[in-house]
Amino acid sequence: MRITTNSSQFYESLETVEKALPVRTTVPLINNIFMQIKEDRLVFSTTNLEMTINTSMESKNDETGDILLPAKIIDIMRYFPTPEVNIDVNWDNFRIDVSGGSAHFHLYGADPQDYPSTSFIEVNENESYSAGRGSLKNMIRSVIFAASTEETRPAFNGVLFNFSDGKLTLTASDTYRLAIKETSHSDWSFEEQKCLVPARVLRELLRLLDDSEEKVFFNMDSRSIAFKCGDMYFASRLLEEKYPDVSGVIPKSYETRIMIDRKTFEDTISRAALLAQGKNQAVNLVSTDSNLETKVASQLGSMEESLPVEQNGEDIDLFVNSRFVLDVLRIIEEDKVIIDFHGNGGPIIFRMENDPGYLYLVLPIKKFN
Amino acid sequence: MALDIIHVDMDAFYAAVEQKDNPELQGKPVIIGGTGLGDRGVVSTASYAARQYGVHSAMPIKEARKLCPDAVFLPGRMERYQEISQCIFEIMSRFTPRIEKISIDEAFLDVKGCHRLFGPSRKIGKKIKTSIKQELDLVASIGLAPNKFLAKLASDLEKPDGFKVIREDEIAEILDPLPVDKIWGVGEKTEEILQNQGMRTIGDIKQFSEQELTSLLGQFGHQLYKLARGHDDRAVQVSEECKSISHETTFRRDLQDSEKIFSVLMALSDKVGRRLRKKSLCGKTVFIKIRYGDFTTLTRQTTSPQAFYDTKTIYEQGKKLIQNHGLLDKPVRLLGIGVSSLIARHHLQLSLFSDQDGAVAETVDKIKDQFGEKSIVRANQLIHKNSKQSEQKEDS
Repeated sequence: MRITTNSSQFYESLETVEKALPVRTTVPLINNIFMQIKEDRLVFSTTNLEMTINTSMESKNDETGDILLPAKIIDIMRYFPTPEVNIDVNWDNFRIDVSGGSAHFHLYGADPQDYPSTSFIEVNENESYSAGRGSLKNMIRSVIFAASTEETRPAFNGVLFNFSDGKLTLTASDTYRLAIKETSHSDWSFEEQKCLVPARVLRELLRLLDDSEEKVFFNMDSRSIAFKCGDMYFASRLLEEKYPDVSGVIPKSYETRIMIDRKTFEDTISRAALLAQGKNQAVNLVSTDSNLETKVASQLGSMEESLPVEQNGEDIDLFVNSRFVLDVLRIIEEDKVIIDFHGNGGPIIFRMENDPGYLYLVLPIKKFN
Repeated sequence: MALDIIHVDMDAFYAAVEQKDNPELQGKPVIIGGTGLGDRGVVSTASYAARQYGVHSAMPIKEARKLCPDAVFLPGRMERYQEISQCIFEIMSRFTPRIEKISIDEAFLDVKGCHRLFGPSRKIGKKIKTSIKQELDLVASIGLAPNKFLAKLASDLEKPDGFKVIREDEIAEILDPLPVDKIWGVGEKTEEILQNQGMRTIGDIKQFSEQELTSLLGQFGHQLYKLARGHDDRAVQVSEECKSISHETTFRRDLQDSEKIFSVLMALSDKVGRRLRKKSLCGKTVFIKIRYGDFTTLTRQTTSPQAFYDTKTIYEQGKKLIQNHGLLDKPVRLLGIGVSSLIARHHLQLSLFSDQDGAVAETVDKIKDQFGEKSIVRANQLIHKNSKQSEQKEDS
């Protein structure tokens, strides 16, 4: 049979599903792209068993059937010479001929019969929840950087989705810091449920979501969560670890509150980070009255810079990881940022002036003589 | 003899750091000392302006206040001084790896073999001095000589802001007129003995034979004889960081009872942990040493991804090693436990959900510091009474 289609559209679909291809695997066949040829569509699927991505494109096909395409097809489409591409499938041996212009590739496909089946929850648009794509992206983006990338405590490799009536709360932490984003929506009437979604999967999802406010539909069960966005379906297994209760670590009040210009502070910390060294990347923050001093002294040299602040409460003199501070300053889109201190050894909490649902907590660095 | 030994000594280091951090103090008498103890502390550093009033280090703060009531008295910020000290040693290490650290602000450098890269010793010395000035805004006095004794003497001769070279052909000329107490190791007592024999200057000492000096001063006489002539053959000892901390104990009778052995293990772990914390270190590797009744000895070790400094982790890792390797199948004569892969714990990122163990260990340390080593013990340490005094070890 012959499929005739547009090579750049074909490439776009493949590029989308590529994100769920396993980097290394011992499971046979899953390093291929599963392609279903329907009468008027091509449907592509990939999985690394932790997540799966499906997408489809229009195409007029004279026969139907399923085949596994080698992952190399992605690069071949990327560098394809002509807009039009012809793909001939030999159903006897799953060989594929890809041709366009004077280029001709002969590839070895495979029989999809033994391709592992995965059981992620379906997303039916009428029976699912929805959010604006940009909004969901923003929610995830505002917490995901706090999730751990070290493998020592698997629960912290996840972002906790806590669904409750009318409200979705995302939580991420690496035990040194904690980000929480709570969003309410009048359309949401979730059943109470907690899902721990691997952060590395969500990072891929972020790349696939656009910033528009068109709807993304989602649904979850006890083992998986899935998102549907136009032609794309994206699903992930949930982590089975129990997420610790974080409510206890968030102080109810503050001892010192400062309000500072976000961009100026970000620039200052970026400069301070130039000299901060070691794993802890420590910078010294000293807030007195209406002045916040940022200081670093390392083997490279020292720097200090002071900024005007509005301070309410006791003076502060503590050390904090500059990277942890930059991470949050870079995602906050407001002009001012509120920082609450709880003494020199207690948590530092970053808040947004106009979003009471957001909180980012960092623990300081203890210094020894 | 080549001019290969450099002595670097910071001028009024603590006071200078305070002046650098707070320019208002520049030129003023600044006295750093234990003001935390009321006025019972002593001066640890006095700026040169304060020294003009007769204030010197080790003088009681009370006396310093009388001599120089207008001085700025500061309690001192060790961590800041350590930080700057690290920068100073980093500068020195650009020129040679052979550095002997004497104290936070003083070191010997052996620059033999560094000349092709950095030029003659004199140039290296100048470079160190200017780098410290330019990068840290602090003043170092530099002494340059063929050996450690003369280099230290040289840095002292033109202090503050000194740069003094003692060449071999100048030794006698420079040494002879100096008072005897300029010699390393000559304190008040020795000075008195020497003065009673009519020796006031180093030149005077040279009038006496080696035998006469040894009959006066014993072993030190040999050294004095050499030093007075500017001879000193001690090499620059490259300071090595401590690589492991361990404790071991030999039982009065060989033991096989696991409960007793683990109880001793806890006591040893506690000592290791306490030394670790005192030195502000943490480690990643725990090792166990066991010697059986027949004197066969074995060691086992395990490394964790995360560094620790608490007694509990040391003990648990050690216990796991003993259990996993089935080491208690014979009576044990000696048991030891230690921690290696040590890292300095200048900074510790606090954590939200863990490290209760570290906090417990530090609290126990505080209690012991205040009330003595036996003021608080773990319950399982009450079991063992069968071990001799343990030995502490520190390996480089």
